[in-house]
Amino acid sequence: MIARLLWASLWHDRRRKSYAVLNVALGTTLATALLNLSLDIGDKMNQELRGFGANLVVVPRSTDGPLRLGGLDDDPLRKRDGIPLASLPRIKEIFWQHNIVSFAPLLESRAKTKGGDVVTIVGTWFDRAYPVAADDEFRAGIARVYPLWPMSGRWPDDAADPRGTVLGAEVARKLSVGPGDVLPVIPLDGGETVNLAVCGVVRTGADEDERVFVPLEVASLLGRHDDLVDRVLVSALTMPDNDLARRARHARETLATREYDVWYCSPFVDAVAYQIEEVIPGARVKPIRQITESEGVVIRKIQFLMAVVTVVALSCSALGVFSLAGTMIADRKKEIGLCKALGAGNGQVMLMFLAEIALAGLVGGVLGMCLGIGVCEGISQKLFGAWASVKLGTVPVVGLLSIVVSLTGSLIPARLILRVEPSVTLSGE
Amino acid sequence: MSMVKVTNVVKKYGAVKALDGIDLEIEQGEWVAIMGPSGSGKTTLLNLLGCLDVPTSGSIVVDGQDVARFSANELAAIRRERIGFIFQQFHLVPYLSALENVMLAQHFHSMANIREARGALDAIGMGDRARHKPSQLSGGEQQRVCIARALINDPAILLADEPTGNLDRKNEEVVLDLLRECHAQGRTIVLVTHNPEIARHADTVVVLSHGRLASGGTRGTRRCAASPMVAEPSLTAVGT
Ligand SMILES: Nc1ncnc2c1ncn2[C@@H]1O[C@H](COP(=O)(O)OP(=O)(O)OP(=O)(O)O)[C@@H](O)[C@H]1O
Ligand SMILES: [Mg+2]
Repeated sequence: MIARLLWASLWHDRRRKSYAVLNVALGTTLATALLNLSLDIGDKMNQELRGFGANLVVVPRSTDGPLRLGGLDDDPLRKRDGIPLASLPRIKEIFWQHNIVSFAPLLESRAKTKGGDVVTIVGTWFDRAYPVAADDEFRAGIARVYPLWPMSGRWPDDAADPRGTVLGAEVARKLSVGPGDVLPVIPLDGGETVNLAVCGVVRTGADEDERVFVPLEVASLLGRHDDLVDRVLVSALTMPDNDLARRARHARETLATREYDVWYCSPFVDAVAYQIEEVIPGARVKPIRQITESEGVVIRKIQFLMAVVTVVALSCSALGVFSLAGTMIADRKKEIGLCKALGAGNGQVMLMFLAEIALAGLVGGVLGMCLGIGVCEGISQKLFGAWASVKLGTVPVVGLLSIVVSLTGSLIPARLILRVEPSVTLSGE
Repeated sequence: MSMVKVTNVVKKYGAVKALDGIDLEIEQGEWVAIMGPSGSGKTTLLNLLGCLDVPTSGSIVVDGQDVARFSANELAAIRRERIGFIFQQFHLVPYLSALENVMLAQHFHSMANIREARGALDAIGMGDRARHKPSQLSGGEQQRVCIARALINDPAILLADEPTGNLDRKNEEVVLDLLRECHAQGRTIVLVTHNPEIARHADTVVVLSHGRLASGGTRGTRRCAASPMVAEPSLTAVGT
């Protein structure tokens, strides 16, 4: 009977109920969208920021000292030891292998141009298929690590352009060469001339503008002939540091076993670095921290903002339900009076009314959830050009929110039910 | 034993004394008609008898309990268990079918039972209109549904406020027949009416005037003989 009653009443008063539904739906649309976005934004920002380059750099243990963001060491006297090329696949074998977006080896040397200028040559991979055990579609190279480098011309193709070169903007300006030109260079020790085919010119505003990026094999021709590289840039998806991560950084040995396990199994930048060090003996892995740190701060701020907007939106919904519930009761005084005359207690009538509103709220919530997921995906596409992953956990949360919103909105009007006097509402025309 | 005993009841609405010292006793199985000019307090009295309201002072004893000081929920319980209402305006829920309207009363009383509800509609000759909404029923039909609803929980007292006020002669007859049937089954009926033709069927006619029982100026229950044949002349005496 209750179900029948609820349904009949909902259907009878469907216009107003649909306003209530709409009201709650709008609120929960926003709540769903923002909740999912704020849960997803960490991952998305992370992916986005990976576009700005490496957040880890692998160097030989002996090479210490300050590191510049994406910069290359200028010291010509540094010890020439390095990271064995053969150890690189292991970076994709660590616990967080799927979080390794890409990596690129760097090998530095110098060469002379025809005009006698000395240029710094950096041998690297641009973009090459690098199948590893975990992922046979994996691609490695500097174009993967720095996909957003402002480039005129194009990235060379590792397979098709064996002499393909990317010039730093300053070098290109000094030598007056550009994409499509050929740049002959001679090893400092006077070996054979190598004709570099310039494919692109990059301007980062940093040290890269002074470099000449060539395929690793070409750099070996111009300098060292072993299988060591100076450093490896790694781009990894990491999680913003939390308290645990900060404690682990300053005193890992103080962590309890369980905490250590949690830390090790979380993609904190330090944990990823630590795991790479584990697989490449003699290597030091340094996080390039500015990026991950500011990321955490920004994300927390955005999440706070979203929470505020969500609360405001839900309050507006509750307010809308409040006014609708008020007029609904006023319009249905006769019916309420009748129920009371038939012997319904105040609680019973109130419960029926609240159940009706809660049901409308739930319908609105479900509607809002669907809309919200749509909006969330829309925003995600617009902002990040990727689908947001919808967290299933938000479904019951939003469902509950929609009921809570509709009930808070209707609790005060529901008190009007107490004041309906059947003797008054039922007499009179 | 009296079904309801009203003692010195006063009901004030602000400065207006709607009822001014009413004493009335209603016996089990008695049919009481309340008459009187408009504004004399008939509806007010009926509402008090129906536990829809409480008096300003005085006592109303139902089943040995004085309900005059009952809380809203206690009154609701009495209504639920003991009282059936028939309204001049029917007061059927517009979006429920005839059947569902009857079931609503069952629902608040105990539990909806579709077979019983259907039986109640059959009993008043409305079985074939069970699925109709009130708006699809004539006034007389609506009133019959209202009667079915009032009777569904087998109330001790049936209260009717001008049940035929909105009906034509033919439907008036139908409703009256139903009431007579109830009376014959031994149900207590209190009915407000302006129509002496209807009051004629009652065992007792109570006439109100300005919130008092008009019976030669003395307070007390005006009682007529049980037979309508005898009741008629005494009623005329009251009217004059
Ligand atoms: N809820 C109320 N608030 C204020 N005054 C009321 C209320 N109900 C009734 N009254 C007043 O009490 C008096 C008696 O009203 P009541 O409705 O009992 O009259 P009645 O005999 O039923 O009249 P009618 O034949 O027109 O239905 C009237 O003066 C009326 O104005
Ligand atoms: Mg009246």
